[in-house]
Amino acid sequence: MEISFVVILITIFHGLVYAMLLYLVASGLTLVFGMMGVLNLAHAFFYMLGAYIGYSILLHTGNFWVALIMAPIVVGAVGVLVERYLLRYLHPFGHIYELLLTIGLQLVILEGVKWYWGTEPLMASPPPILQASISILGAPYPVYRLFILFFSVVLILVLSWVMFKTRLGMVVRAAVDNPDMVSALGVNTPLVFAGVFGLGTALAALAGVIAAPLLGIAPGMADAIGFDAFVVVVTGGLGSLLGAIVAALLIGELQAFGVMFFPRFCLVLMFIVMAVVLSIRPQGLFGDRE
Amino acid sequence: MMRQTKINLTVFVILLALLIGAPFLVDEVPLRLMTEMCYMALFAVSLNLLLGFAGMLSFGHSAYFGIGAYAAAIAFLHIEGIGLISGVLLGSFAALIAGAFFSLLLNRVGGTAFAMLTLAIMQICYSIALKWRNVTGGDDGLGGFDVPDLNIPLIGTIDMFESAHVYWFVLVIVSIMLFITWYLLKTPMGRSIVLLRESMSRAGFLGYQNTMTKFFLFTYTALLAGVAGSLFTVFQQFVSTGSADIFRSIDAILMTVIGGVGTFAGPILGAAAYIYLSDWLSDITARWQFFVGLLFIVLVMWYRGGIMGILTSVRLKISSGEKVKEAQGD
Amino acid sequence: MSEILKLYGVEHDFSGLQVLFGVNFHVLEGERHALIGPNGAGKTTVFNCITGELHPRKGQVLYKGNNIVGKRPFRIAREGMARSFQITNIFFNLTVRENLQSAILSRLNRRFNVLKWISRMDDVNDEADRMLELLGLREEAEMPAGLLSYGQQRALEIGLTVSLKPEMILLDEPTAGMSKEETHHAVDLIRSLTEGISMIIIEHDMDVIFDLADRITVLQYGEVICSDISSEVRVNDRVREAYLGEEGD
Repeated sequence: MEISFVVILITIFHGLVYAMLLYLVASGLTLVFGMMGVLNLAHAFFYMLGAYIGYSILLHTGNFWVALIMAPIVVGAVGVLVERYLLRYLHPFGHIYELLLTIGLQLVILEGVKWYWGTEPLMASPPPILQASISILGAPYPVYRLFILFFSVVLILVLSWVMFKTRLGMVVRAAVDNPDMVSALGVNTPLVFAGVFGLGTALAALAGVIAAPLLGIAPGMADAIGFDAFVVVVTGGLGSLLGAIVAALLIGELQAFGVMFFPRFCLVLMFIVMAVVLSIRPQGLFGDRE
Repeated sequence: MMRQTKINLTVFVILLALLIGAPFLVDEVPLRLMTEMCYMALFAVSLNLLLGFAGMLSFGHSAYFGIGAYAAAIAFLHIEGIGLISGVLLGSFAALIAGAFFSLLLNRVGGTAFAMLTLAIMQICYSIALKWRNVTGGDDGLGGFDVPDLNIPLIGTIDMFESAHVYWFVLVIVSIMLFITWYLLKTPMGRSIVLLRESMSRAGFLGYQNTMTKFFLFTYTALLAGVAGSLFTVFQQFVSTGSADIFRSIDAILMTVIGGVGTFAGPILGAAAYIYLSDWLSDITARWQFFVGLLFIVLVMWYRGGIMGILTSVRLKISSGEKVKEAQGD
Repeated sequence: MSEILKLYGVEHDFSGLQVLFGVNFHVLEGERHALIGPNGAGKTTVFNCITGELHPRKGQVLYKGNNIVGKRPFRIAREGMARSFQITNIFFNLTVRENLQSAILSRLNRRFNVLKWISRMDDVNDEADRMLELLGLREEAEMPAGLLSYGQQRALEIGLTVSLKPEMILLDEPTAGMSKEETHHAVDLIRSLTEGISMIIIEHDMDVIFDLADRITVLQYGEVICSDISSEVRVNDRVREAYLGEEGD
């Protein structure tokens, strides 16, 4: 295969797109961990749930944008309920039980999805406006991928603005950093916890809806992005949004170039990266030593 | 408490008799299921040493199961005239070496980082199993080998085509390893392991060298998993990537929780219950795992002691009821 | 009498925030030494630097003549130095007996014994029985330590430390959170259990200090402002101003 500049550029773009999706999934995961000390193993399954629910909404309304807005709201609500009634109850018993609960959730969501929507992959297509291709240096590039890129960047900027420039964001960041102190200061921490968890799952669901036309909808989609998302979160540093974006870019590009140039080792590569980072710097690139 | 020990002993002897006599009591299909319960019980017990006794959640345990399974299979396939025991030994030893090796990486991390690292290790092993087609057969798996019969002087031949013989062989090996583990937990080494869960810092300040304890723990549990994996190969006469994937790890976690985390017998009961349940439920609906997931959530939320926990509280109710009766009788 | 422990120019900071500014003091063999100072003075940090939990940025910690800076806690423990914790750090899910067994087994270097059951080790269990008696916990021997009362847990905390039969013992606020009566009881216990053992005790209760301690080191803002025999410290102006003056005597 000719390795021309255009091919490299296209691969970089592919990597960026995937990195954005990874970040949308990983950001919720890392926020929840930072705040509650719980790694939500079922997180990628909320991503999957979002894709499937989005599909059904699309089927009923014929409108991609409605699905894009509604699916995350539904999944976010589910997330809030899960935190409020399940996770919170287990908190006094230790992290192990919270982890175990999320394993149970994995099963329930996966099998529930298979039950309701079947095990066959589903077709999702981008909305008509975004179905074209444009030309980048002579090579055709799908507009939809650029949309994902653009949409994600805008979303990330909005979230970052809320997180770092508003009082609400400050409260959330403080709660992520030191929940006990924040609670002592009179903030309704249970509400913050439920809200952040819901936001995290909503973001994952949003990623699911956007990713569907690109990556397809199938029962295996949770594992596919889930493993990479864990690698991102762990490598970037559990609890660090900055770490997550850096790691997402790294992993996204590794994935894109890996698929293109080293297909045989691609799967292993991610995990070698994670294993190396964990061995040398267990708290991740930007994480705090717990 | 003497009475309790007598009851325990009686129950144990009865169960043992039933286990040994099983081939005469049940048909072939249930017997094969019981064989599976045996080596999965061993696998679950090894996971519980990490999870329940040392307080460490590992997703990667199936890596050692897989290494044991594949190593044994490769031995049977490529080594001319290898005996049954030797094949199992080779598989187990391969897993032990892997456990010792990976413990170097795993020693330095705890908690979530530990869980993630075990996941990474498992994924790497899984990928190797998948991609190294020449050796492992890739996703076709490895078959076409004969598991040799075993001649035991004075007793007879263990014929690999006889389900009863295979069952007894697996039962004996598993029983030996379980006994060793049960014994170990009551020794100071067992206590060193439990202290990892209780308070690593306090243990350190009492003079315990936790890194050495962990090295032993990781190596020993890998060995147990490897034995289970080798027995899997002997039983299935076939091995595939399914022996080293995330689902096998999760199965072991499910079994342990269902049976009772932190108890010795818990994972054994859990393995039996889970395998029986999944066999029975999967005949009813293809979505049986949905119900297993629900059951699991219910257990984690409200019955964290699992089956053992339920049995213990029942036993306590009975004995306290008797104490009340005694008191009233006075 | 020789020095069993000597701190020499010990400095430490946490991510740039300096907490110890060159701490110097020594403990004589067999003496009971108190380390006092206002909250935040750095007393527990000093303990952590001594026991190996922290490695001081500068300075030396000479234990029995050897610099132990850089050694891991378990090694220092095996060399005869034991500590207790301000926040109770016992094995809450193990029974009281099992807690004590764990300490005794470690002292006897049997941590990795795979051949004999703990329950069959008569010497370990006899010693545990004796300690249970001394701690007043004989009735509670088979109870999970988490179910003990606070005072009982503190007693067990000290019991664990003493079971190592250390040459030097570091007690971090052993009477924290105790009533007057419990404190009195605890001091008697400490006194009887630590006969002849060199001790450093961090305490806030002045009665306890002047009752137990032979010599006192006073720490303020990470520096030693006085290190002398009790009677001298009592009348030292700097100390009165910095610490005792606040309490009013």
